[in-house]
Amino acid sequence: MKIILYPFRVMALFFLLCSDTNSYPQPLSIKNSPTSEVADLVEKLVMADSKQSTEILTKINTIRNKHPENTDILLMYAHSLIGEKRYREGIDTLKILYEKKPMRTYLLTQCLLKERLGGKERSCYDDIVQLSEKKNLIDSDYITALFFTDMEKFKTVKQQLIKEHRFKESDFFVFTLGKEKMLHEFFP
Amino acid sequence: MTTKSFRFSTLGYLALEGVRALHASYTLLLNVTESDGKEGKKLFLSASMLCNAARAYGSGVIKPWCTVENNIDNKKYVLDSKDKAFALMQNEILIGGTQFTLKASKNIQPVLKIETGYFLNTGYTGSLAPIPKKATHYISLNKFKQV
Repeated sequence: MKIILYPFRVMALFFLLCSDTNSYPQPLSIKNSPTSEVADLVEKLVMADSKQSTEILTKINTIRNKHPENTDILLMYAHSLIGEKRYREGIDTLKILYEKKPMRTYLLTQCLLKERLGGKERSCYDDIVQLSEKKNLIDSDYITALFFTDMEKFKTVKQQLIKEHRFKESDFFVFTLGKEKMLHEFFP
Repeated sequence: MTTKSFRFSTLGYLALEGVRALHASYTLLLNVTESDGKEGKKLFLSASMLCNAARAYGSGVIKPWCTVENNIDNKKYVLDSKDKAFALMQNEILIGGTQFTLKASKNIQPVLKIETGYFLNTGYTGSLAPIPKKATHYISLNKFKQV
């Protein structure tokens, strides 16, 4: 009888182990990778004082230089520079990032920062509008670019998106600040 | 003993697809309980956050943080959820709490400096904090009753 039950015991143990693995999915480890190393530094940066911030940014830059093709690290570095109000360096890093990974968000962030620093960036926003319309991407990059270039079209697209339930009216509250105040809120 | 509830909303920007200028903003929900005793003013703070960034991005975890500094002994405390229990609404993300006592100081209006923010941990692609990276708020407490 014991011999007959043995395979069932093994099977029960197997299923028990499987179900345990499924109920507690372990995140695949990215520990000790350069990306996670930079992520840890970014997390420390949020509560750091100005002296610590400079040290952390230097460390991130060192890792970035060792892994120049890693766009995740490049984005974290650009974001951290902008967070520390080093806008010009942020724009330069975003340019490199955009060359490696041409996403409209990176271009839009550059346009916003340049305008925040006093430049008139109509052509920069126009590029985003054209790229979006070409690929039929009606999203917040497109809406934000329209807000800075074509107010009439912005209003029409806004109404259309609300009507289609793709966005809520409250999603557009940020635009009620107006261009200049909005830029100063994001990039003080 | 008095408890005051505060709600501080901050605009934020994240250069991430789906988030950007529209979904990186956040709201700090903060409760401050103060009670005056012989030793001074006992304070208990608890906080949580509302933030849509992870949902808008499609993955990742929001890790909110909050610190409190006072103008009496200038000590800084980090709110956490270690060994404490909290009740939350469905959309709230727990930050935690802290408690400390301020020594009664005559003629000084006690003020708390609250700093808050979050970072979005996206797993494989790392972590990003919104821009600006933190928000600062000041809360005036009731004057010390016993000096």
